Amino acid sequence: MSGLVIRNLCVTYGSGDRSVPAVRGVDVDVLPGATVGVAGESGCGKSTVALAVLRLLPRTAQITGQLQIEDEDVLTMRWGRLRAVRWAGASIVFQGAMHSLNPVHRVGDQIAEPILLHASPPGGAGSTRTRVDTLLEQVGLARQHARSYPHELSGGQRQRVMIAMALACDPRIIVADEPTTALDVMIQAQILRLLGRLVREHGIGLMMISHDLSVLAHTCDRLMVMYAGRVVEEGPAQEVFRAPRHPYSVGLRAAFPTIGDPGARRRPHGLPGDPPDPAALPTGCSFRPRCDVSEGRCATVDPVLWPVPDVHTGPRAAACVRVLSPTPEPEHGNVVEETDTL
Amino acid sequence: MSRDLPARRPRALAWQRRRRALAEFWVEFRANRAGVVGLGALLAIGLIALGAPLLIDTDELSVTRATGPILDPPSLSYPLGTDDAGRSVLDLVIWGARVSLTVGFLATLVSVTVGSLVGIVAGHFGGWVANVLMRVTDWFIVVPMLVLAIALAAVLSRSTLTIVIAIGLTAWPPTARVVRAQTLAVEARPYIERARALGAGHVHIMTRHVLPNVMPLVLAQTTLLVASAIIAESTLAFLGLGDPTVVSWGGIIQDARGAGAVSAGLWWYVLPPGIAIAAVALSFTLCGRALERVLNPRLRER
Repeated sequence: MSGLVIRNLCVTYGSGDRSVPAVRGVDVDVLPGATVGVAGESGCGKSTVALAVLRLLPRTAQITGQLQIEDEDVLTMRWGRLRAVRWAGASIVFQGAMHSLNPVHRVGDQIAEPILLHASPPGGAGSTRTRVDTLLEQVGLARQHARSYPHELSGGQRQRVMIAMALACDPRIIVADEPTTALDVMIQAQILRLLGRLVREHGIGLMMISHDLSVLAHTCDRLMVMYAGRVVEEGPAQEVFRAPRHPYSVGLRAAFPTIGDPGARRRPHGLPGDPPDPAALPTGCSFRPRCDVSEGRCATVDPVLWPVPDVHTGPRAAACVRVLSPTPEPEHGNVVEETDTL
Repeated sequence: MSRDLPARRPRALAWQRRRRALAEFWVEFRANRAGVVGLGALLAIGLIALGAPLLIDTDELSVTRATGPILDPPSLSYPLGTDDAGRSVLDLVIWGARVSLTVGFLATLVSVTVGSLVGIVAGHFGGWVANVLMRVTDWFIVVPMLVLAIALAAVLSRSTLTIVIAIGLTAWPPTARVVRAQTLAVEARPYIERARALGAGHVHIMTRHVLPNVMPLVLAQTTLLVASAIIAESTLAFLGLGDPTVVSWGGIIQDARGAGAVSAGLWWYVLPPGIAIAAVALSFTLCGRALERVLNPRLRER
């Protein structure tokens, strides 16, 4: 299978007594042309997965499992081959476009950087410049901007430059790590639409990481929700967003108001409590201490992704015992919404 | 690679911007009066040093061919008097500026190059590489610079180049430390991670991303280092480790001491080269401080 294939990925920071498992067995498939969203709150391991794709994690991190880009195992790759795969096989759109551009170089030179690093084109400097102009055009910037320095551009323009840079070497996979975090809502929509269009046109697989469930639901085909280093829910994006089955997904969705829903005005309530300390996870389900529908068996059963039975548009799975056999209680989908935690 | 853009307008714009940036820099620099005085003095000394062959007949600097009276106090024909070989002290001091400035600049170049290299490599790689490099740096800081320079100058053959190497190889540790600190700060920026994700190697990151960002610091460090390099050169020459056939300020003071100028009260022989050393060192320091202030706005308010 081509594209990006991640199987049972585990990342542990540190070693011995002080080791902290940041990612505990994650499976992801990103096929060419498909968009997969990864959602979760800070510290759930979603950025660690993004960095693991190109083996950019610090030396203290131990990575196990399988991670393939275009049928090539990234984790066992030699250093020279890894450098070649970085950006040419998979590229990254980083969080803060403000700081991901070097202030002392021109924008055009920075877009040309991966091109020159990977394959000096036969036409020399002239063809590199043509390529930079084409890339700028694709992301909706005038070619004159190639001569600008990063501080002369706005936040949205800078993020466009980052996207142009990500496309520079025709990668098969793009990992977008919270690409719109520092941007306002209007620019955010523009950037997301641009990213979606380019990915479709070029048949690139996109892995989009965000904490905003609604953004992912509108831009991705499939959606994964991560909690404490694991995927707790997975399925077609719209469906997961509309009817989440894991209590954590329910809470994550409720944290954002739904526009056009009068009831949402009272709602936006966050999840009670803090994300768990990855070094000292609770027994059984790691979401148990914050879950308001937890029951006796949650303390003993370590939930894995169980398929959700009543699916309509595609395979779905959630790591909650209630998916296996619902307890004889009122339907929990409403319970959470009615509980007043304010 | 972006320099030969076909369109003329962007290039004109870029030049305009560059000119404006330069003008802004000059306005900032001018606000520091001490810096302007230092720069003026440096320009004057530099011009005199460059024009020295036009002003002075080299025969007049030869111990055997000099024509003046011996140890004469200042007069109209010899404004700063003469030395024990009948040479004009004014001519000697002017000629000495050439050697002092050359050695000062070259030695600074050597030490800044070594210091930046060690600093960037240590900051970039970290771990045991940084440990080894910084312990070597510590060792060079602990060893008395003058003693090491004397040892080096004594072992190597006697020439101006030896002095340059001796100073250059002993003056780099402070630069290495400052550059390493700045490298660590730059390496923590996201664009370094971005460069790594691009598939950039160590050399690419160090030269394309770290070096341009530590350059302003290195520049300010350079101007401050020239002053101490000139003083070090004078010290070595005074101690008789320089090339005896070359006229330098430290060498003049050594000759004066040998002629008993201090005890005989021959002030015109001792003071001028000493004042020249102090003036040049002070000018470089003033310039360096002003430059530091322009490049590091946080220092400006004080």
